[in-house]
Amino acid sequence: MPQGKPLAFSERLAVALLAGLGALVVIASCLFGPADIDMQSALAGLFGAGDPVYATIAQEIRLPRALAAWIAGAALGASGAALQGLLRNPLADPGVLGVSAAAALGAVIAVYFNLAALAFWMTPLASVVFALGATTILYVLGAGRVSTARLILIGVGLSSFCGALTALVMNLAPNPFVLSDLVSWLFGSVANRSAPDLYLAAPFLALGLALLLLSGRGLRALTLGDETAFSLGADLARTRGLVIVGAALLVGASVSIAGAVGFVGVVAPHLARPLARHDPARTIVPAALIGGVILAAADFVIRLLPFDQELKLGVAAALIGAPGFVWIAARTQRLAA
Amino acid sequence: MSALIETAKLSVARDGAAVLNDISFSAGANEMIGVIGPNGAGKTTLLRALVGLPPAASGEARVMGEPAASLAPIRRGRTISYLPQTRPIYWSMTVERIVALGRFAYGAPADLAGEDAAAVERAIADADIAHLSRRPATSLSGGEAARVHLARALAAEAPVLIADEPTAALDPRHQLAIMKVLAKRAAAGGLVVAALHDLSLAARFCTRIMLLENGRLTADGAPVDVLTGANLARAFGVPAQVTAESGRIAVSFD
Repeated sequence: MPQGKPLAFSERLAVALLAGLGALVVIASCLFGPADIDMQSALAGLFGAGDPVYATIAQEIRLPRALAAWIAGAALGASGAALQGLLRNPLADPGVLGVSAAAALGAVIAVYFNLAALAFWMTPLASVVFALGATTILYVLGAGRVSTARLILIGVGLSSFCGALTALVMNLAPNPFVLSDLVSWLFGSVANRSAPDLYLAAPFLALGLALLLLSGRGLRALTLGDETAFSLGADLARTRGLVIVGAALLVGASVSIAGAVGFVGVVAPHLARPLARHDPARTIVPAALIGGVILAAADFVIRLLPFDQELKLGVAAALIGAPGFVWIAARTQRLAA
Repeated sequence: MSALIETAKLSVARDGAAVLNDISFSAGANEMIGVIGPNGAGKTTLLRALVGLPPAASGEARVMGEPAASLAPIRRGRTISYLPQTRPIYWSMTVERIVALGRFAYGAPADLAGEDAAAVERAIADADIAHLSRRPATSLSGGEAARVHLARALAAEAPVLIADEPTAALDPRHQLAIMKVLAKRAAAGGLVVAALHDLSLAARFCTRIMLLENGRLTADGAPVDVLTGANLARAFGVPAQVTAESGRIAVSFD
């Protein structure tokens, strides 16, 4: 073959670098914070050495939060990449398409009607179920048959509707902290995450990622459209099922720990695609790693900003991501096709 | 010799109206079949039924003895190559990787090795696109893209190749190039079934012509027998003249 090894190597190198960058940002995030700890003590604390108070702060307060941001970003990046492959549309993003808003509605219902008292895993489960409903609706109404513009309009409608229902649920719920919580769910935040939140989401995340990775080959065949993919021997029903369920698991779990954070799912795959040489199967992993870096870095910056009221993670993500979305939309040729 | 494709009373209805009506034929290796007929005669529907694509057909369409619609996906990919009428490429993968997708049913990854790589290289050589292989497949001209899709279909080295208007919207040079590659595949032991609009091109390259009118197979045989003035005038609704000079058939309508 005239090509191959060097480029394949650079793909792997990029993945390794992105993973390393993610680890660096997460560790850096553990070294800074409102508690007055010098970096050396915090670093020692992070690895369980030194003063036990510092260790508690680094391991149980800062690390879960930093990891939550990274995980949420990675989940959104991976599901964005897979949804884009399935819908063959570079603007498909769990936030834009309303999947995140649906997952947030599920989480809010679980939290405010105290379903978590029934079973501790009800919150992520409710998020996943609602996200699944959204991905199914989008697929049934959208895939391959409608234009990007219409798909996004469907997403806008779904998003607004779920946002309104979320507000309604919170109005009905007997809880005094409604407004600030509403903002956290709808815009996303990883403030006050603890390790158990992550453990709870972990099985959904792992399963979701596994399903998306299994869908990769089918997504690659879909590069040539439904009919050709079918004739090539791709099992399209299986590919659809894997992406719809896998993305719902990832988005649901990510929303249950970070709320509805938008635009990571469109920006991360866009940046990952050249690294994967535009192969939709190989875009998933780098998109996850880039999404993780983006959100972990965004949360790191938020915590350093000298505001009295902390900026929401989703607001920061939108500040970076929304212009990125507009830029990608402006460059997408098939928008009206 | 066993038939590669066999249909019996194949019919397809859409919204209650018959699109294909009682199509029965069988075809085997070394045949290059041109499916001709006016727009809406059912050419695309016939080819789709042979691949197993919807709409669901009644009657039988068998590929190597198995019903086309219920072939296992991998078996379909290894038995049939298909060039649909619309051939999108959604992501700007390189030409080489697009052609490599032809090996999908062999579990080939994006970076090929062994027999997969050899098959892709043969297909790239046959379609004469070696000079394009590193280009993004979304940046090609119509003629280049047509040859890339053809190479992708050849790469599977499947016994049956089904092509829906493979020469549509191409200049004469590219039309000839595509037809030559298809004819070569048939001569090498494949079965090629192609829907064609250029009747002179069909006459020159096909070993057999099937004429569809309103969903019915009204003529099926050697080009000289099917491409008659009477057949064509009836099917296309305009007077047709068929001339044969030194064995080459030319069709003109007036």
